[in-house]
Amino acid sequence: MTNEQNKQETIKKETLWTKAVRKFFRDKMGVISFSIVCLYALIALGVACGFWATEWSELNPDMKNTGPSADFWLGTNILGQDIYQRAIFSTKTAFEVGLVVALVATMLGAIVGCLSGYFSGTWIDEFFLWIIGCIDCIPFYLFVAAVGFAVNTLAQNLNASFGIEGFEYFAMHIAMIATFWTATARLVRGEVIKIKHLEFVEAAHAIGVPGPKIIFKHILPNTFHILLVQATIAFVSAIKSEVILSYLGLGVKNTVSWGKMIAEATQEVPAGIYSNFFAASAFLFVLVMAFNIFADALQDALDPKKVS
Amino acid sequence: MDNLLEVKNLKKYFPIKGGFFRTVVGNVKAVDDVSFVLKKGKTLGVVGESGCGKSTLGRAILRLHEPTSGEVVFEGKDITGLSHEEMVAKRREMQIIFQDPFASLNPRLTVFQIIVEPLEIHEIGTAEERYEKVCSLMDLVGLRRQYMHRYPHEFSGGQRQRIGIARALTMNPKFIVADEPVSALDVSVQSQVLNLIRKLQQEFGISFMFIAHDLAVVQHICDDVAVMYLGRMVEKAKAEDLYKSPKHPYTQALLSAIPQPDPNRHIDRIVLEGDVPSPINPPSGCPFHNRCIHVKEICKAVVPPVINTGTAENEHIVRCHLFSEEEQAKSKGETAKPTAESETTS
Amino acid sequence: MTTPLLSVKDLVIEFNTEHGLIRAVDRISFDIFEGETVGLVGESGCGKSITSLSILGLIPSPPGRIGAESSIKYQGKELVGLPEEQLRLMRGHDISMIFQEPMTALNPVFTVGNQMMEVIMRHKKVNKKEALKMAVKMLEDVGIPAPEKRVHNYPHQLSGGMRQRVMIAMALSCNPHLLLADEPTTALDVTIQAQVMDLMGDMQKKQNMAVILVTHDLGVVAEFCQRVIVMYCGHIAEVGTVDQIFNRPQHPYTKGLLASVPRVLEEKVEFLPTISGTVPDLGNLPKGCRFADRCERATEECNAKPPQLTIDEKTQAGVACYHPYK
Ligand SMILES: Nc1ncnc2c1ncn2[C@@H]1O[C@H](COP(=O)(O)OP(=O)(O)OP(=O)(O)O)[C@@H](O)[C@H]1O
Ligand SMILES: Nc1ncnc2c1ncn2[C@@H]1O[C@H](COP(=O)(O)OP(=O)(O)OP(=O)(O)O)[C@@H](O)[C@H]1O
Ligand SMILES: [Mg+2]
Ligand SMILES: [Mg+2]
Repeated sequence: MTNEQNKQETIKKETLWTKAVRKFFRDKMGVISFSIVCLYALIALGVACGFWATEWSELNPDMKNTGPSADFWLGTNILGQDIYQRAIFSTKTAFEVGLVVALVATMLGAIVGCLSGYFSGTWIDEFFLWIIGCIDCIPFYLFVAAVGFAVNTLAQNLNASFGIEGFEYFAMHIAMIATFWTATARLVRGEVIKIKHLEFVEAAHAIGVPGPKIIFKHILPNTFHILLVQATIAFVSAIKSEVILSYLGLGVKNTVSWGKMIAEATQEVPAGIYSNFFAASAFLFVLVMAFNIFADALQDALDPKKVS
Repeated sequence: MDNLLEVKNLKKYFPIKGGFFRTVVGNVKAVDDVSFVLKKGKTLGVVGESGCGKSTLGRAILRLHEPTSGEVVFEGKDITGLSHEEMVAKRREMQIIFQDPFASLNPRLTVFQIIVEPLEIHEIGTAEERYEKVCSLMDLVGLRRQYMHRYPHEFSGGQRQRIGIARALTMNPKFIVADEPVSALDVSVQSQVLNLIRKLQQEFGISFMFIAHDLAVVQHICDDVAVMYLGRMVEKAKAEDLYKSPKHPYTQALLSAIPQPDPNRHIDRIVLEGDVPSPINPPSGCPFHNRCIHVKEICKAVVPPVINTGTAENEHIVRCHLFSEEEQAKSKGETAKPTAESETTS
Repeated sequence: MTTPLLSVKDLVIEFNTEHGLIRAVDRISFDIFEGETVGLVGESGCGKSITSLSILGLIPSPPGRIGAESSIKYQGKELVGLPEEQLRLMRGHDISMIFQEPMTALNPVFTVGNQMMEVIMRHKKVNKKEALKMAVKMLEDVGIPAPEKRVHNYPHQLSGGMRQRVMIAMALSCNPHLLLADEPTTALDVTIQAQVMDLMGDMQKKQNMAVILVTHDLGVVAEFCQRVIVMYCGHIAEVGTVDQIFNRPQHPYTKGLLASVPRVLEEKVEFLPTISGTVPDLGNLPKGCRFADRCERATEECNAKPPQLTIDEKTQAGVACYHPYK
């Protein structure tokens, strides 16, 4: 008896999550990349709270295109703005875009995927699949440009008729969310179809649990590992897309981002000035790299087949 | 009125969709014209090979699968016509225990949350009363109370099966469908769970429909036994009668095919030819005719009627042409009737 | 007594898991003689499958490995540590294996005939045409109707029972001396199980091979085996003839196991006898006998030191227990 008790004690705290966490922390690359991501997050938080990089837009007319110095660690750009501060400030932009897009797109994908999977075989499923199919057909940048344009027009109308300001700031976010949720929805749908035939769902029916409660209490939480991984993927994709969109002029407005810095650099690089370009690229590269490794490690840790 | 459950001509067909427009091109006749009566406090065993429709029958009775046609009369009331709300209320009285102890419990809920859920859904009792109820249920099925806040994956197969049983008992049901509750368990654990079910039968007088493919298990726990083949109930009788003198050729083959854990006993095995046919395209006439050793012309054309070879009191129902009246009249004295006693002891 | 066909000595199989090294099989020894059928029984997870896999050198490594002092001798030849190519030559030719789940053991993208011909051509010097002829002949031998048509079927076009027959046909195609059957009928229905076991019995008599039948169905063992090895939690609890094991079990575990099986056509008992408690965790084993905390005969001695299995040379029987039933 005591033996059995001991055994139960040792495995007591081993929930699926603690197991995953333990596995994650044994993965060295995963932990390193996670620390880097945390560092970036801290930087972004500091910017948001106004601790540093507060002078990113300050113009120094007498210090245009200078090299690195004690005042300007990475030099200045064509307008005499501090590149280092701009790169740091862009971290916040990147995180903001990444988080908003990842959270909303994953949530949307989860809900649609869940409903579609739960009602698979009915018109509800057909309808959602049709929407997903349509969205997936449109080339990404074309779609983003179209949505961005539409949202801008909407923002102007809102401003004109209701006095709501700043809506155009989210044009790019909305565009990305509108495209990113489909991948999650597909994956969740597949998983839900698998889960809904499991006996515990049938047991819930047998007890008399109402439909919505079955979906959100019994099925959705069991897709959480997929959502987490999908959110990390959406986060990285959003940051990368933001850079490209900003470079194309479809990106964020009234602020600075790595993409905007690279766009500025297109005029500087021919003149032999690289600091803007390198600063933005390096910040972006390290973050994306670290986040990808982190996402892989997370996926491994959450894979139930690998959690033995 | 001591009939708890009466099933009349129950059918459950699954449509097969095919073609470009996904139209219905055929039916899987998973349960085809099944009727039986279950008395209060009794246990009906349902046996048959994989895919013969045992689970579908159990689920159709509980309306987890909507029956295609037929009646399910529970305590004198046909439940196939009940509205959704009425059915939810009825679910307190009819429960189910599942086969797979790993798939039947939500891995994200603790034992307490799993067992208490029915009480929450039907809004019964205060928080303390619910807690007390869960404690007493865990005592009843032999789980320690300390395990209440653990997750299912921390338990062994047998312990999980007990959690599933506790969940089914929460609402004090009168009728439980046990869908192969011990098939996935080891022998030594299987006997523990069987004893628990036995205890529930005796203490609470719950009626069970006990589905299994192991005839020995069924004999141990059931009063009546029904044998299914390809969606049909081919034989039904009191357990002792069925095991002592099986009538249907399929039942005889099934009984003789069970390996006996006893080297001294030797049963003359009836080895059937071929496999169980697919329920999508069942043979015409008697579904068993292509594997039957006593097959006749009539078997290939006509579906055998339901024949009671026992008394009105003590029914022994067979669906086989060998027992239809003309046949019996013809073969009086002859040996056309399959020999019931095929057991020899060496 | 003749020399054994297969002789396993002090076999240790360990797995590297995240909870540390676990010993799934701990110093077990047994012999198999020509032409006999030996049942390997025990509860789920007691090490039956990996024991039979280790004979063919099929333990997944990593995480698994066979202990240094282990010895598996086939016809006097040491198999542990044999290079992979030599082992591969023995597989299918001298020693064959049948697995529990025939669907996963057959490759779904090739026809049955293709897969059978591959095995035949690997071990016999024949051309494609002859190999196909032999494949058809084998299918006929295992009682598959219309074999010339069935060779061209894919595995999913066959029923479970037919797939298992194909597996048997493949395993027997090169007349092995030893067949390892890992739960060959667990996935099948009783009537199909009867067909398949009948077939295995016939083929065994025809080819005079030894069979190790891994199963947890005591009924199958009683009907088809001459000898039985009872395993419990990585140890051998008891070895003996079918008659000894079923009629005069000595180990309390064997006795408990037999008592807890419900039987057809016997006086109905109200409650089945059970073995209380659960199997210990391989990562957290007791110091003494592994069955001690579920055993009613356990004493201090049992908890202190595990009992040793001594197999009588003459009768090939033995029990690992300090207080066996007599
Ligand atoms: N949802 C479904 N849609 C279509 N066909 C189904 C469905 N559920 C079951 N079937 C079919 O109905 C038949 C009976 O299935 P059922 O699960 O009732 O068999 P069973 O007797 O319980 O078998 P087992 O012993 O393997 O559990 C099978 O042929 C199966 O393929
Ligand atoms: N790849 C592996 N990694 C870690 N442990 C393993 C691995 N394979 C097997 N084991 C362990 O070895 C033990 C014996 O496994 P084995 O598959 O031989 O059991 P078994 O007796 O065949 O059971 P069953 O009746 O369920 O097939 C198990 O407890 C299992 O945990
Ligand atoms: Mg079933
Ligand atoms: Mg095994």
